Amino acid sequence: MTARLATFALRTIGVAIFAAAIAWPMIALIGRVITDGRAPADGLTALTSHLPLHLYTLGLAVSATVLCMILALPAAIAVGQTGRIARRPWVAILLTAPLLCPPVVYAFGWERILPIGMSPWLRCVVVWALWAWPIPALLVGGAWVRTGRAAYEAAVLVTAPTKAFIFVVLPVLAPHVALSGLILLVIFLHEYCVPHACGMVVSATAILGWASDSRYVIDAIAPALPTLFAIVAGLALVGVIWRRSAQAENAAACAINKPAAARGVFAIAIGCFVVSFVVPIGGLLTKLSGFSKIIVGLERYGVDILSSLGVALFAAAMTIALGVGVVLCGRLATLALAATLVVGALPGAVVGVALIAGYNYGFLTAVYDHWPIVAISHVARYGWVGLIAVMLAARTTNSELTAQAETDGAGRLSVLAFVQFGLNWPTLLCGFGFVVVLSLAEVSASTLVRVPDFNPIAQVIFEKFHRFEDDMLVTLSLCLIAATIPAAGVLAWAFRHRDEG
Amino acid sequence: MNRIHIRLAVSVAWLATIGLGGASVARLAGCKRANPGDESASVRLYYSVDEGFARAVLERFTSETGIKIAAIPDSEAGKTTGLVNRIRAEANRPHADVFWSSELFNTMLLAREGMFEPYDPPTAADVPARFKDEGRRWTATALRGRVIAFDPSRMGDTPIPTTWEQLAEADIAPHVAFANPLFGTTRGHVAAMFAAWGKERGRAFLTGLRGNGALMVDGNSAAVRAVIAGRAKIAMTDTDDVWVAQGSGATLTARYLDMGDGGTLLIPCSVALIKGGSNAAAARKLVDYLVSADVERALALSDSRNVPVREPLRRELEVSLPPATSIPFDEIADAMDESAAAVREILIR
Repeated sequence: MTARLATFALRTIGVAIFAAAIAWPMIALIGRVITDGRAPADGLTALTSHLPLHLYTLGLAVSATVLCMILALPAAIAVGQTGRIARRPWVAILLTAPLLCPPVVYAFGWERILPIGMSPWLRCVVVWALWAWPIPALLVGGAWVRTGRAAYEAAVLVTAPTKAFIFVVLPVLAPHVALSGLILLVIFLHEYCVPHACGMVVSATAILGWASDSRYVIDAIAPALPTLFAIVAGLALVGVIWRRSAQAENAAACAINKPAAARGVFAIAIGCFVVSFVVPIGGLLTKLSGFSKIIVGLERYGVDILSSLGVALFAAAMTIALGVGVVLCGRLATLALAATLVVGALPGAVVGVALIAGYNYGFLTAVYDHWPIVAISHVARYGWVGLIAVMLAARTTNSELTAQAETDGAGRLSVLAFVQFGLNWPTLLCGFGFVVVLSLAEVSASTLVRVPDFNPIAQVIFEKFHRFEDDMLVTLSLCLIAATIPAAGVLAWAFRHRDEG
Repeated sequence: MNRIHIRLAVSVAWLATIGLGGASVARLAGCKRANPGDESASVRLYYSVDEGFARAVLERFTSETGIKIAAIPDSEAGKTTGLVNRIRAEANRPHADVFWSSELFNTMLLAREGMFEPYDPPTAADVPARFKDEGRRWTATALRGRVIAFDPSRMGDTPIPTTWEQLAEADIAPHVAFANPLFGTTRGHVAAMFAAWGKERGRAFLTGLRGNGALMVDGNSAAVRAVIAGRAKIAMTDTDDVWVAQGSGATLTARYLDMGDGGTLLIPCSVALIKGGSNAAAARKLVDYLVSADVERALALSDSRNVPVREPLRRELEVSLPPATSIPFDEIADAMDESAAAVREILIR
């Protein structure tokens, strides 16, 4: 009875969050398109006339994705070498450190280090790749540990190592490589901070411009369609690859029990950490003109930092709750995941327009006027991260274990909570942390859903950038980094705790 | 209740604690700023003047009058245009009482659309008539000029233009950086070009910029940064961006170019009372304050170094009025839609 009640409560919470952040804004957006009347010619013209800009942005995002995958290789090998990364929490922390930096901070960290004359295009690709490589490293490295290694070791008994790798390991890892690539592509196509800091005009910046400039929502939606189609096509491709891939799930148990060959792992992790975290953040530190500036920054913008952090934490908790609720919905989960992914694949500006359409309306203006709308905007944009984290946590568990639990009479919720989440909750924590970081750096949607309660810290940092207030820019960036350090500690503790468990 | 349920309950409690903890932090931190849900909050302001300066001015207003302000600034991405569209979107249910803009032309368009309440602030009695709407729907003060910024030591063989039109010429345009003309003061500037030169010459200017390889970036300060970084030699920008860049150590020079009638475009800040706002009395007090000589003086003494429209104030501060174009503001506002359409067609692709 208690389990049924808990399942019902979690489902209801998940559905409510889905309705508030995904379904209602999209319904309102479609309603606005209809009530706006005939689509202005500008909006439809933009669909075709902006294609060069979209292709340029796609080229930029694909280049960054490819470079990112290449940079991730050593770390992925390191992750694979550890056997289970949970056995080495500090390796995990060193490898995920760049992701703890909001991109807005990361971009400004590199801004002072990369050569002044460097092409903005190349600069943008390099900064993105150096920031996001832990995503493929962890996903692909983790897949190698769970399935690839066992498959490889079985294959080399009958064939040459090269052939074993090409014909056995690569197909096994392909879904994870494809998923990593898609996640990176979605992030890069809509990431605003790095291109803006590099002085570039890309789809994300242009569409935000259209959304800010136009009275008709179709003007923001139409230019977003090519990007949306590209992502949906990518999503379909990844889906096909996942379905075709025969996952040797039970290999996980074999791999877990193997001793880790950890030679050089720590050195690789340290190397990655120095290049992608110490260098840019150290660059910021050297520009700090004095610690008294930090006091001034905290006095002046402490409210904005705390509020941004609070809203980001709240939003991240909502995304995980959304994921849990959706997973508990059974078959409807696929539909909800598809809808969440589609909304996540929309540019932030379109999400902002949808939220205005949905909440500047009747009694909902109570939300429109206050910080919850900012939290909802984060959930709408990054709900897919929470959902994927929850689904990965639910999926990457030994199927024999879950089958045994079900045979023993455990319900869906019990299996989910005790077996799947119980074993994989660091994955949930990683998803949670990543949503916090992305929310802290969010600029596009929050540009449109500003509230008087606080000024999002990413907006403040950009304002300092534009006003040439480099001292304050550095100070606020370092404050944000300092705020993420406890997160690293929690993550390390979580990995260790899980391994002990 | 068995172990599974205890564990589940603990997990849900953790999630709820994190979520509610985050919400509480946001709520408590946000409470330090007035918000419209508070009974003590009185005026809601949308503003696009420099955030640091505005914050100081608004704090002074609150301390002098006891009236609290819930303020929403513009963003660097959407500039004034974002707030303008927000006011339009909220027309049926206004959320703001006062609009304090860093430029004038969008304010004029909103006034024409009936978004503002006529009000003649007594503190603006000494503001010249040119800077007040005939219908008293807006008042303008504190000018910024459109200039080019360049580093004289890095110009090389590139000629330094004397008119705005020359920026689109083949020998200069490849070295020019300019902000997206759909936003901010650049939008008004391009509209002024269309008003002064006519549609054909205006379009030819935009075509020249694009065809000859001028660099379009996101914002005036980004254009100035492009010059500092060596990606361009000349930036089309506002005076305040040059002054703050100089203050940060950049070796830039500003030059006023000729719009064709001997002067450059000077753009004032503007203040207007939004129709249907919830607290008209307190909002009027805020308008009185924002258009006062005190605030204009403070803007002139700030990093932005805005030029006062009040002649006695200019004398007091020993500031001279730069050579100004004589194109009427009304004609520039008239040209806004046409020039924006041309920008979309020619530049944003």
